[in-house]
Parts: sequence; C-alpha cells; structure tokens
Amino acid sequence: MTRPPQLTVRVCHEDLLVMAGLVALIGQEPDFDVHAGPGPADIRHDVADVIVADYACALGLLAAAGAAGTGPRIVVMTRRDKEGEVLQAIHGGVHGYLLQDANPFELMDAIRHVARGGSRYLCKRAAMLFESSPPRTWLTAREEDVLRFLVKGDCNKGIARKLDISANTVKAHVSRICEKLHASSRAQVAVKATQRGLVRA
Amino acid sequence: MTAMAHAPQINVAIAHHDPYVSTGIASLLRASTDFAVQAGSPEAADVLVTDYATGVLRATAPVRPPVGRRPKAVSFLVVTDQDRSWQIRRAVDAGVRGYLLQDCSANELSDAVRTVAAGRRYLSRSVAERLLDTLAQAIPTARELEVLQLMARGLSNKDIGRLLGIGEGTVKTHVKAILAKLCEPTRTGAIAEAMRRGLLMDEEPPHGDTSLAS
Repeated sequence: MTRPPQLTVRVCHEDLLVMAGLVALIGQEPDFDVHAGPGPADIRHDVADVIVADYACALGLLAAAGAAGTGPRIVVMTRRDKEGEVLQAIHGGVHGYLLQDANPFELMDAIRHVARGGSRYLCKRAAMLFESSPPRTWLTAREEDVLRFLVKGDCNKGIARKLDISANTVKAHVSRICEKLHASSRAQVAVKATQRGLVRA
Repeated sequence: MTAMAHAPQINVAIAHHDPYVSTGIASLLRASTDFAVQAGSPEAADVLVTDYATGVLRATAPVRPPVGRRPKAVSFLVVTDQDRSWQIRRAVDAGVRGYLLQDCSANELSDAVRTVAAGRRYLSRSVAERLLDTLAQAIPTARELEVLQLMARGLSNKDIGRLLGIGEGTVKTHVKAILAKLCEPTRTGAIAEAMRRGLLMDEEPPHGDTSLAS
C-alpha cells in the first residue's frame, strides 16, 4: 500500500483549550500533519495546505492575504452563528465555515474537501443562512450607522447629534429599518438586529 | 492532605458538549501526572469538568449514588465562554465550585482542578470581578425579570400585559422600575444592558427560527 499523501494543517485558535483539542483531534488522522500556532506573517509563504482558525484570526488572515487568493485554504471553526457574522466571513472569502458543534468527522471531511481545491464547505447552518440571505446592499451604510446607535439605546435626537444629521432624517432611517426587519417597534428592531448579528459589538 | 507532592492523583471526569474543548481539556490535563482523566463514570471522580448548562443542571440536582455506595461529593468546574455577570452568578448560586473561561491558560486549568478538588473555590480573575459586579447591582424582582424577558422579545407594554394577565399600567410600573435598576433611560437601552449583564435567559432554540426577510 502506498502512503497516503500528507496534508499539512495549521491550527490557529484564540482559545487555548479549543486549540489543544483541535490539534489532538486533527493529529489523530493518519493523513494529516498538524502544526499549532500562527504561521508566517505573509500566509502565501505558509507551508500549510489548510488553516483551521477561529473567526477573528481567519478574517485577519484573509484581509492580510488580500485579493491574491493564493496560499492556504482557510476553514473557520467558531461559535459565532449569527446571520451577520456568518455572511461577513463568507463574503470575506473563507473556504470553509463550521460551527463548533460540528462533530470532528465533519471537520476532517471539510478539511479534505477544501484541500482538494473544490467549492466552499459550509456547515448546514451556515449554508442555510447563506442561501436565504438578502443581497449585500440590504441595509445602507447609513442605516447601519443608525442601527448601531439605536441598539445601544440612543434616542433619535441622540443619534442625530452623533451622526451630525437632523432628527427627522434619523426618523426616516429608523422607519426604513423597521420595514426591512419587519419590526413594529424600536425595541423589536434592537432585538432582531442583535439576534441576527447585524450590528458589530 | 494539602501536601501536593504526596497527594494521590486527582480523578477528573469531563462532561462537555463541545468535542474540541473536551478533547483539549483532556489532552492538557493528561500532560501532568497529577491527574487521572477518565472517560465516563463521573460518580467516581473528584472533579467533574463541564460546560455551562451541564454544570448548572448537575450541580443543582446532584446524581444520587446507588444505594449502598458511599456518597462522594463531586466538585463541579465549569469551563465556558459564557462570561456575563449574571450567568456566572447563577452558576455559583447553583453550587458550581469553579468557573473558568475558555480562553484560560493551561496553568489556570490545572490550578482550578487542584483547587476545587481540595474543596475550595476557583474563579479566574475576570470571572471573580464580574461576580462581584452582581453584588453591587440592584436585582430585578422575579416579576420584573419576566417583564424584561418579554421586553427583550420586542413586545409592547400592552402585549406584555396580555401575556402575563396584568394591566398595561402595571406593566408600565414594572418597566419603569427595570429602567431604574438597570440605570438606562430608554427601553432599548435597558434591553441592551440586560443582555450585557446576562439577565436574559436564552430563548432562541439553538439554530432555530431566524425569520429571514427575503
């Protein structure tokens, strides 16, 4: 029998416990060669075929890699399951998105899948969110600004002052946001936006 | 008993829903000869390391040992990413002896296991700080918490009154008291602060309805 080709997998996770778990589990696979911790600053020089990373680390790596699109494939392993977060990562160009409740078999499959250079690997929840997501330009940048302050509990006047626009303009934005979120009150807007992860904390 | 050098191995069982955290804890503890990490049989363990929900549940209702067997006290150590002050408070109230956040170091983990095994409490620094916050904060009454929970669903006073079978005026009074206790002038501000403090129970079924707009 010929030796199966080795895949080099790097693990970068902010939580040491998760990191240790990922390294142990991935290391058990005979065809994976696992490395722990950050690689070279320029990921195009990384020897890894696949990097399994936490959410922030993955997005950081992608931003650093720029649009070149070369270098290791990146799989996110995270607990973040809100619409806004998942979509941001997918649009940011991750090759795989898995929630931390995925069983280890699924993770190994995902690593092999993206290593082959195929399509993106999304766990069920991420795929569902991606497929049913509204277009990216769904909330305007200004609406997002207003939403951020609204969720914090600012009144229209307060928001107007902070964004240096009139209270009436804020009001118009708020009612447009209400429509888009199918919310009937300000409080409901805040709740829905938070639950769906539409505002960055 | 306190002489660590001669202390017998500490039996540790792990009941954590996250396979990665669970494996991580096991592999870090196995690196030290002080610990015997067992797969199952939490009854025989000195320390049971759990996720948040499991820890709170089991600490509240400890498993009774089979008849004839000497009951043995298991100390619960929760390892979690739930870091809101009232979440921590609820776990401690339930009887959890140790509380660690998932981003802890390997040393913290083994210190925590040793400490709770010796019958003491272990809270990491930031956890202790947040637990102390809860002592300084005004506590909403049970009824106010019910109202708060419904406010956080985005319901109006009228709807809350109907759901709880009380008048709208009464709801208003509760809401006013809630705003005062949370030191927030607005309804949305109060909801945000309640989330920050971890006063709201998780209602969302995991990965349930997201009611997406098309």
